[in-house]
Amino acid sequence: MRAEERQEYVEYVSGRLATLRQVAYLLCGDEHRADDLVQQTITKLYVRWRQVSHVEHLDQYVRRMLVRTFLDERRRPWSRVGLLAALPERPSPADHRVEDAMVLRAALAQVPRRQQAVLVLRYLCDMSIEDVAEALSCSAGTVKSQANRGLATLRRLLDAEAVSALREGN
Amino acid sequence: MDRDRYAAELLQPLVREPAGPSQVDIAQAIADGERRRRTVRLVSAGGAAAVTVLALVAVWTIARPAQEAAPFGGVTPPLPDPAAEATGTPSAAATVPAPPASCTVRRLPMPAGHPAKSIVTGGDPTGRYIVGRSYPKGGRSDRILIWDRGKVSTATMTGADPQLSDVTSTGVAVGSSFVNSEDLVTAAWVYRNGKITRMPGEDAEARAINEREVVVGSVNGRPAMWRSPTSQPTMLATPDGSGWQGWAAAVDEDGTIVGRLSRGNSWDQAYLWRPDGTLEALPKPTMNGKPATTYTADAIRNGWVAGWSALDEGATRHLAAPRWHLPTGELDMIDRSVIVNAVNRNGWVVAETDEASLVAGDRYVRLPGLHDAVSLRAVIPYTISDDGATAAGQASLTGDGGDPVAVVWNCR
Repeated sequence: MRAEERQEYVEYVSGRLATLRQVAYLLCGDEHRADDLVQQTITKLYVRWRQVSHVEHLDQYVRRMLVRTFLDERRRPWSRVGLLAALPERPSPADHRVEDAMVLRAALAQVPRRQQAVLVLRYLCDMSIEDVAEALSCSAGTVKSQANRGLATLRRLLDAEAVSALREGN
Repeated sequence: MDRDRYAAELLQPLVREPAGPSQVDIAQAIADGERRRRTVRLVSAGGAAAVTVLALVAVWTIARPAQEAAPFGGVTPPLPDPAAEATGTPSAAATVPAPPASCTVRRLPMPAGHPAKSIVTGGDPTGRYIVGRSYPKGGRSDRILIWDRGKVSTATMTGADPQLSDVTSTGVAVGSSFVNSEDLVTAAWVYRNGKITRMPGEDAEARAINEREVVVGSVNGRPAMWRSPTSQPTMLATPDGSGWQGWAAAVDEDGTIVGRLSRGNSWDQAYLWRPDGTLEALPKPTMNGKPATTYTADAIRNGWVAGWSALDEGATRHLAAPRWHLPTGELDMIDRSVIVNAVNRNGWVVAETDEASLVAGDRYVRLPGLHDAVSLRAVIPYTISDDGATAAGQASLTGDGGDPVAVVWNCR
């Protein structure tokens, strides 16, 4: 790769690292794995940089790469490790919030991975149905049905407090 | 769209910034990338050509002459009543039986070597067959389970997140899985005599099957129907205009189909397809004296339709469980219920109220969990038989919301 291309790459990636890390963290719930997802994604991006650096929606393209890296992660032996393990270590000023997050994260981890991705991108990253569909290369209808399925599964897994909160619309 | 706000609020506790400094290393990415670029060039020289598979989908119009076998364009002969066959009572005497007085719970058996964690995903109208899945490898490696009169067998469905969603009284089941791990494409499957085979249609989901083996679900995110598990899918009618998305959720024995549709950012609405293909919106439920913001129809049996509805008022979302009776056009709300997962031929439902219940007319029969003393709600009923004697679902094994296990309730 020519020096100026490499410089473009470094500038682009430097400006997106925080966002990518945030999305990766929401997807997997763990800082270390989030870093690993981003590292893999920007490595893949470097390999394809010449072909993709001038595509019209580069941010969306990179986000899609990140999501696919997350989806592919299921094949890796350590992919099921550490969701809960990492959370309690973290000091937090609001304990019940951490508790809520732990319960939710544990439940979310049991939802099929594609549904996890849909729920996180749609509801935590606030992406539109169309953007989620684009990121996952599927139809808007599939995003909706997966969001519904994922929510139904979550509902089944969550404890009474979470369920009653939802029932009261809190 | 219907659960957007609730979903965002539910997941809100997860919105946090990743702690600590990022360990991402751009220089490392460049170094690794340089190495991989060389590898990629070698591999891509012999790369296989992509194969494009075209979806074969017949578009169904209402104008089509009524030449197909009923229920898709003609008068439907009466069906043998599977519940009557099973119990030996003549179907002509289809009087509403007395509601059960109480229900007892027991765990469904698991295949040898499978961990306890398991869920129920569907059942047949007689209560003979229950379908579900287990997690033999832990995590997300799912396996299909079929219980026949309480005896369990397993099946393997190709793809990720496999699920059988519904089953007939003769043990024919349909379901879906993801067949392409990157592209989120689903495939529909039929289970018969221990074998699972793929149904026609790209990006297809099979959600329900009736006794005639008519299957409904979606193809490419739009409502679809299969005249048989081996037929090409037929797209169901949608309202005027483009961009409608949704699915057919359930099919009655006479061919009436219910499902949901939405377009763009509009809310989901419940729809009904008559046996001749005519599309109708189901009457909108009224909640707190106002029309519901969104509502869906998720189950149908003998003209009874069960669904879900929500009314947004300020920051509060009210939930309710509407029930339509198609022959009379009546719509009522199942009292104290917010989630109804199944309805039987008498309009009885299994519902999640303050606790899990079988609701037969005015009677609420408790569906007990495996640990009565524990207050946490951890019981989900998922199916109900036509005679009301059998329901199935899952209950927390430890009573504290931990791993669910498949259970069956016997009610009498």
